[in-house]
Amino acid sequence: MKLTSRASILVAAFTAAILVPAIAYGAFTAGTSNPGNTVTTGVLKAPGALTATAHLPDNATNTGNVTLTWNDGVTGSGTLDPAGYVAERQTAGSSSWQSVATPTYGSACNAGHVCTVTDTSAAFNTTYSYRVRSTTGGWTAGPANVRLAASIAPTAAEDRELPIDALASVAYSASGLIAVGQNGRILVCAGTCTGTGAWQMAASPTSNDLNRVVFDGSGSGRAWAAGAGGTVLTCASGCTSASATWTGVNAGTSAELYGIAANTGYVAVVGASRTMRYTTDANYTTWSSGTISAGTATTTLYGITAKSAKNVVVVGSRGTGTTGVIAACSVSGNGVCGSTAFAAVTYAGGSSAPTADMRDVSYVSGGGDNAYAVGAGGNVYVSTSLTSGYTKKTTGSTSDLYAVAAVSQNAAAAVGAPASGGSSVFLRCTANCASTGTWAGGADTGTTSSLSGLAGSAGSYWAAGSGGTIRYFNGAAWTGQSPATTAVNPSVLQATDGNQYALATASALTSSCTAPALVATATVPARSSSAVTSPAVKVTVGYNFAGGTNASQVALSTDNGSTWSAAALTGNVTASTAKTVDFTGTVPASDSAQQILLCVQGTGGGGHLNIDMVHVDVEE
Amino acid sequence: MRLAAVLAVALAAWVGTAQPAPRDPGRDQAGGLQLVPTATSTGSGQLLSNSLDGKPILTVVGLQPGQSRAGQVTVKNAGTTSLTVTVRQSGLTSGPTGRPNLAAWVQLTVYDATTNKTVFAGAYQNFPTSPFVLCGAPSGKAGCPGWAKGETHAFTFTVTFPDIPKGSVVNVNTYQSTWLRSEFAWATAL
Repeated sequence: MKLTSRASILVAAFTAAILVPAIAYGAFTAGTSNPGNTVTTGVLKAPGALTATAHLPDNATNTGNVTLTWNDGVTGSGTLDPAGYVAERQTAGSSSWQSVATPTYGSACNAGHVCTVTDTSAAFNTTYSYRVRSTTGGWTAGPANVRLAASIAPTAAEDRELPIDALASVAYSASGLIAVGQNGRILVCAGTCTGTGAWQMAASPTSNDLNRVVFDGSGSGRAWAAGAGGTVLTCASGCTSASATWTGVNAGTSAELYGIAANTGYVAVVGASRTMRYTTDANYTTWSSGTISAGTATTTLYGITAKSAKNVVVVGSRGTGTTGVIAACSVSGNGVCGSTAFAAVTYAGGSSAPTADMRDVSYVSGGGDNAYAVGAGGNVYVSTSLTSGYTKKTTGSTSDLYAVAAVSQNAAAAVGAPASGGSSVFLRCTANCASTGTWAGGADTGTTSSLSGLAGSAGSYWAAGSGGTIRYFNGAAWTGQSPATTAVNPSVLQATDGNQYALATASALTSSCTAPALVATATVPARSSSAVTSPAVKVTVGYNFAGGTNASQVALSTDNGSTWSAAALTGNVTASTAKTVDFTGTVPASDSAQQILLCVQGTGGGGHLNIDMVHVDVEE
Repeated sequence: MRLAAVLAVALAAWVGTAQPAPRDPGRDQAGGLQLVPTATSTGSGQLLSNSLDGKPILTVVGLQPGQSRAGQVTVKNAGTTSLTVTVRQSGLTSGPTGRPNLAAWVQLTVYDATTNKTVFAGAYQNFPTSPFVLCGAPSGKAGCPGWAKGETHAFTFTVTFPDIPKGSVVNVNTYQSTWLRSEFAWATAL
């Protein structure tokens, strides 16, 4: 019965098929099929966790580079490598993202699946957020996270006071002045250096105390310094620039050196225990020991001045003897002073050898070979023939004199210890200083700091001494000049512009922020939501050391300097290599922008620290 | 008497193929289905041969924007006379649940290398679910020639994930990790 009914239906259908076969294929005779066709779309790999690292700024454009780094795919996030990425940044306070780079996968990622792209247009003092998304056509994946790259340069900075190092000597040339002192410090003041001066720290390759600095008498511009431990430094050119290169010279002695003289290929140093070393080697590699017949074996030679290799004068202490030393060498034939022994000078005008230690001697030509020697107890001896005929001048002072500056026959001066209850001594002569002229007390130095160094030009003088004191005499009065410890303008940190921070060479790095240090202030943006409870901060400091190699560290304070985090310590940093050091910690969650303090410290090889950049990266 | 014989043949054919159900590859092809000449060989009594009989033409994994994938199938009139060959899609499903319909976004083209014609182009989901003659004519319209005895057609099925123009507001991102599945059934029409 059922079959009958189905057959009836079939007949009807078949009839219709015959009638309109192309319209309705109501009856089918044979078939085959392709089942299980499937189309499955891919899943794009999402970029891995993002980090943002800022680099040293570009001087020319004053822009910074921020390198973004991520893994090419979070495990399990997808199977498809993206065609590329979109790196975007957002200025703080903005709600829109700006594309800064759209690298292809191949150009961004290496074989190790590490991808990088650099934003080369990041502005200073700008807070950015960065994110990276992977893309393939209209598909995107990610971002894994958003990094805040805040304040590429700090918004404010201050200089934590440097320890005051004593200055021992100052030298003048037409291009500027150089002062040296404790802990190998070298200060320079280019140009006329009048008024308050513009002293900067130059790189020093030593942490040994420097006792004396001079320019080569030939006028070549080469400068020399000598100090503790047999230290001898030289600078070939541009020596009044903070970027000058000072290098050590092995003079073959470990004795403390107090005096150095250089003139046209002849360099000689003097120091403790009657040490005298000299060289005529063009490369300053071969030094010989000189002979001083004056004084005793314990005599400390404090000063030396040379008209040439054949006419040299030294001064020194009494040692175990009774008279201070003024000894000279004058060579008429072969040889130079040193190989020819120094002998006590002769005295004229009824004068006799000083009964006090002699501390400094200076020579200047003009109207004779004028020489001036000074020492303890206000002693001033002068000569018009350099190596003989010294006459003691009446000065009216009993203060110890430590330095003398010979500007001309008619301009010379001496400085030294403070008078009892008064300012440091300043004796001045303005005419015929090596003969009949008067040496008398000059203007009030305005300081009680002991003045150990003196340089002059025309009627002006510069004195340097204890406590880092630098005083300038303009011909009428003394005023203070600023050593290189002035406050730091934030703009200083925006570019490598030569501003520098001196470092004490023997400071231990501690977890606290102790001088010497640079304390910079950076702003951490407000958290994006109350769900953020402990933002992580990564601080990158870009810096380099000028001079020597150094260890350095960065410490972080989120409580205005009351406490400092454990330091992020980095190893030796060579002078010529700019370096960044990262510090990672957390900051308190805050609904408003907050400031953190960054303390940058260094120690080791002396020199100074240049801060080029401070970058704060906050991840919520 | 002649009509009775035709009816007998038609009845046998109708029982097996008038409503060809989606083929389950795991299903035993015994019973009533044995009445359907589906073997890929061209043995006696078989009207169509299919180079991928019982197997998918398209097995596409990881399709992504702007990308196309293709599969080929060759269908032959293995019968003794000229036939009209039809194909239809059945059992189209997509997922996962709650996600956009991939079949509505991806495009399917069918190219007949024998006639050098694109015989279908459109959204995957628009491939006819009624028997359809792949000859390049509008679906369901007359004018398609039959296949001569032994005539072979090589079809290329291509799926494409259309990318979006830059700046488009269309969001295709949600098509990641979606899928579709369907069957293509071939048949002859009397």
